[in-house]
Amino acid sequence: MRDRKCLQFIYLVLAFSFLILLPQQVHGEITIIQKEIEEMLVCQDDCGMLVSACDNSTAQYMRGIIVEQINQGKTKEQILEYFIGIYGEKVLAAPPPKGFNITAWVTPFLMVLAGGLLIYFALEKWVFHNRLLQLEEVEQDNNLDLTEYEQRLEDELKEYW
Amino acid sequence: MAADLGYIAILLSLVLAFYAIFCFILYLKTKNYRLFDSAKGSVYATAFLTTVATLCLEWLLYLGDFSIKYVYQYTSTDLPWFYRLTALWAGNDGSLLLWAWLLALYASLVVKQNKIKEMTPIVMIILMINSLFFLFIMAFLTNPFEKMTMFAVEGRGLNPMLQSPGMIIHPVTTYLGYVGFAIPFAFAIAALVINRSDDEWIKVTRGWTIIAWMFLSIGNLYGALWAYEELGWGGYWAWDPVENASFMPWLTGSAFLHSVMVQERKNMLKIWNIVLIIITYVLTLFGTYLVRSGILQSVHAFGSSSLGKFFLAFTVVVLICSLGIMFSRIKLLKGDKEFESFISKESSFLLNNLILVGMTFATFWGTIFPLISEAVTGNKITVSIPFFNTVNAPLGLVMVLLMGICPLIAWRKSSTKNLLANFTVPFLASLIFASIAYILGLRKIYVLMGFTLTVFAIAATLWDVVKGILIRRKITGESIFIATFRLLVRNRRRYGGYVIHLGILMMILGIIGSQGYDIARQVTMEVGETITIKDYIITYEDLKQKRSGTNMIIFAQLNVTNNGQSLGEMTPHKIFYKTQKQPSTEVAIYSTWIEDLYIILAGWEMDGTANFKILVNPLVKWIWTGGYILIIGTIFALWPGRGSLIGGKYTRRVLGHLNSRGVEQNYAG
Repeated sequence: MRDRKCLQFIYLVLAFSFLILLPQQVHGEITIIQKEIEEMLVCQDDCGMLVSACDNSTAQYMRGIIVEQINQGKTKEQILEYFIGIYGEKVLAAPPPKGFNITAWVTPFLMVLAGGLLIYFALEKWVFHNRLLQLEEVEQDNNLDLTEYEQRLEDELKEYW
Repeated sequence: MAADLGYIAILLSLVLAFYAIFCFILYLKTKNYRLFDSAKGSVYATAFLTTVATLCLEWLLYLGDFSIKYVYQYTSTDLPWFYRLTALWAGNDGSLLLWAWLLALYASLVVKQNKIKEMTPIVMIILMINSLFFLFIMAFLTNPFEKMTMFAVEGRGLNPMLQSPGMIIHPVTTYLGYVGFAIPFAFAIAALVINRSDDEWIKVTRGWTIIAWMFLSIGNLYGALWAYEELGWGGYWAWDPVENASFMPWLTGSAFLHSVMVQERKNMLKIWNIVLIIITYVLTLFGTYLVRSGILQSVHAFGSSSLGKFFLAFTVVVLICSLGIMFSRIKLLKGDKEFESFISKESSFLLNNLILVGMTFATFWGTIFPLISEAVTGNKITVSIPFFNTVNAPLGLVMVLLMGICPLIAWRKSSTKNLLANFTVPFLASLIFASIAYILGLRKIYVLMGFTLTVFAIAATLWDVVKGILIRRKITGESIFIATFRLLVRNRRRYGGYVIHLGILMMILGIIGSQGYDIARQVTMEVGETITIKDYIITYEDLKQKRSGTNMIIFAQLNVTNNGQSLGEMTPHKIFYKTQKQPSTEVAIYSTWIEDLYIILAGWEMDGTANFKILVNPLVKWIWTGGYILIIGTIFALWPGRGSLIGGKYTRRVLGHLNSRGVEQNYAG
């Protein structure tokens, strides 16, 4: 009985917390989604600015539509699709990563990767070359030492024999 | 009169530039020094005549002579005198004259210095060919002194967005940077032409390169400041094609400044350095093409014009000829092939170059991708801020990490002992910072990572200075102040570079902070209403108007407090010009080291209700301050005297001396 009352109390607290938190979360969410969408769209009056940054009438109109559609409960993707439907893909601030546009996203990293590999192989070659040179120097030193000893041996043999 | 004089000066400059090229070529064939002297005189005369042309245009702008098309297009009677003078670079024709003038001045300085006698004639031929191109464009395609066909009593006026102190500095410094890179480029090509593969051209042009780089840095910095204060959108960098055009040569110029150090010390990367300076100069020409072609949408462009194809043709010719000369001398450029270890300063420079050039490519690729995509798929697309941020941010983080590693790692080979001695303290410092930041609520992973890496790089740089001071004190017994002063001043090249790094790192902190934790709110307020944003309480007190000359200013009075402390009145306003359709937005900014409160007056109703966009941008002040530190560091590194000369050759000599005494080379430097 006591456990049941306790559970009821927890449910009540949770429900009350949910009611308190719900408007705040929704409010916060709307702001974040709106900001995200505005930062993904370009104002369509040839100013070249993002909707989030632009204050002209076209941007304000687009912003109005975003707020309206968010209030209607549409998702970010649905709102973006709506704008693409009206203005085409050029309304997006970055090309969607599909079809040929994938190359826009991938190519810079591929180039850096290719450059990295090039540097790696060049370094390997240069470091190897350097070690080879050091080995040759050591060999030369050894040869020099032997020649010196051979010469000394020869001299001593001549002297004592 | 002044217009005729100016145009005649341009025509004479054109003839003399041609004559100078002809004389230098003849001198190279005959070695008759009188020809060299005559050519040198022509270069001076070109500089003098372009100065005359520039002064003539400035005089016409100052007078407001609307019989001249350029004056009519960019000035008006109500424009203050200093903005009339700065209208020189407000339009296409004037900015070309500025470019030609600066190039002629630089060329005359180079010929006067005549530092490498066998190279000077070829360097001058290259510079004068560039001058010839610009003078030809002005003489026959876009004459800045063109006269109006009809009478005008009033000009169209200067674009309000250009009426800002930032616009006085930004274009001039950007051009000084662009044109400055022509000098190392010309020397590099000249060295190839005369079959010289040593690093003398690098030594001679080091000052030119750093000054060009510094001016380009100032140009970019003031461009960002102008965007922040004048465009009124709350940001400072929009990855606009024209912004990218000045950012790309800055990146490759930075890569060049680092990679030449490897050539100075190791006699390596000769081909790479030539490629870098060619790309840097070609990118400056490409930027000039972008601004004038109208092929890409930009708030900075001069609009579509037929000039674009001439600039594109010139850029392509310069690129092909330069690379052609380089490939014809490829055997000559093969340097030594000795890297002693994967972990060394020279290896880290290679990585730094990879990232800088990678960022350049990513920026270039994003800038031209709309054209490529349209050509391939037929669809128009936009490539803007989200693309550039996404692609460049990870590369930028690697760059920051390398900025921490590069200065501390030893030349030739780094031992484990060396790595531990250099990196333990910076690593622990960044770890402590990350922990505290996380506990205090910094949970955005990208931001946390960015801050931590930047703190690591700052700590690494400062730790190296501290170690240097301690060692100096131990050896000399000097006081801490004298040891610090002498350490820094006697190796200005190295420590100037450190100051530049610290400036850039400070800017990066500002960029990360302002991108990661900005707050934006659009509000409509009635007079007397109060809103709260973060810790700021903003009360809208009144909307007023006043007249300033012929302009009408509408401004809102806002009373602002922060945590109960009054910050006074902020007055965002809009200015309506007699000669312009669009008003300009003047934002109100309250700036502190922590954040900027940034208020834009977006609109209003007749009943006084006003619409505001209010932003809280963290750490923006760090960006501007970091920029000034960068400038100070560059001047410090360049300041004449012994400390500025310590470089590869000097260090090689010292190392050789130490080697002969059997001293272990186990320090970074």
